[in-house]
Amino acid sequence: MTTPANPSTGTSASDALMMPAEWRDFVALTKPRVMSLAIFTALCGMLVAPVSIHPVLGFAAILAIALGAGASGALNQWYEARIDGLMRRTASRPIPAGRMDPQAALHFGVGLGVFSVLLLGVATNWYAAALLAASILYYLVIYTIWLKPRTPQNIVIGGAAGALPPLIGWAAATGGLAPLPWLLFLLIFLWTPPHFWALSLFVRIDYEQAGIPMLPVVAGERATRRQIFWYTLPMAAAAIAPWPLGYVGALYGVVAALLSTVFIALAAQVGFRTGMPDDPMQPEKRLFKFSLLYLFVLFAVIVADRWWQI
Amino acid sequence: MKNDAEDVDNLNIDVAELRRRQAARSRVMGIALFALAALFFAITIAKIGILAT
Repeated sequence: MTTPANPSTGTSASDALMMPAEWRDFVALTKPRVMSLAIFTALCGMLVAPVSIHPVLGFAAILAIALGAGASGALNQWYEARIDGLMRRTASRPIPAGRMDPQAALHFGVGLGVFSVLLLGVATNWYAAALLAASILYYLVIYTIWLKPRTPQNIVIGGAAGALPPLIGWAAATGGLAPLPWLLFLLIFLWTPPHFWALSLFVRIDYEQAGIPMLPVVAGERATRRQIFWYTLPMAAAAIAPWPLGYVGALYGVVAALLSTVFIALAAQVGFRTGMPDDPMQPEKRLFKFSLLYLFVLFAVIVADRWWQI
Repeated sequence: MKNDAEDVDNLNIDVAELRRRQAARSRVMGIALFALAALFFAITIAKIGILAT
């Protein structure tokens, strides 16, 4: 007996898999929204570098980083297809919804990953390409396969993969690394836990049903709220640090200080309140949305600041 | 001996939908390959330009 893939039409999962997936499903497999953050932070890493890169090579590098991020997303969805099917938020993804054969997703992810690394190496340098390869492998092996199903610290350690794009962008432009891109890495690395834990508070039941040991599932809501607040403090310090260290000017410093103050205030609101039964989780949703805006504005302003100084 | 078209007809799937998806994927693949050829050409020209200066 086959599992119904679409009860309304009566087609089974095996029938659905005989049909080649739509090209749109391959796009969905790359997690375009996550990819957009990697593209943006990599572009900013490239633009703040002291060496200007040829526009064609810069475009190719950003495309390669985007494809590498897409490969990570595809391989993540291939590995987590069963878990995704258990969570409401992810059940409509191409593999759990029965629109794509898992093997097609695996081939697509591996092909895209290998191609992205080769493209970056050919267009810029092999140091940047090695960093991209490391970030794809880190996301798949360290985060997806090893940490995520085992420890509530999955987001903390696994966040390094998402923090690598500015380093790759900088390395693509310069062929090496310097303290400023490492500070940008640190900012995203410390931003990831409060960002994801805010999300995990309002989708906790999903994670619980799928058996993923996210912090609210393992340690409870109260401990997660405290952790969100405590992680926000070093994150704010990392955000402001490039200014007193002399890597950027006052424009970035003032914006970073103001936005970090708002972030801390929102994190305190989340961190020191008690959730009620059927709580709409408005402060948590507000913090999650603000965290996205925070990172976007900081990276945009650091580029504006560097160009202002030139 | 059955041919491939008969095999497809015997499956419990919508053949018109199958053909539509194959055509759409072929079109996207064609566009992507053309774009990549253009990109690699542009990369080569850019690198020659950098080496020349």
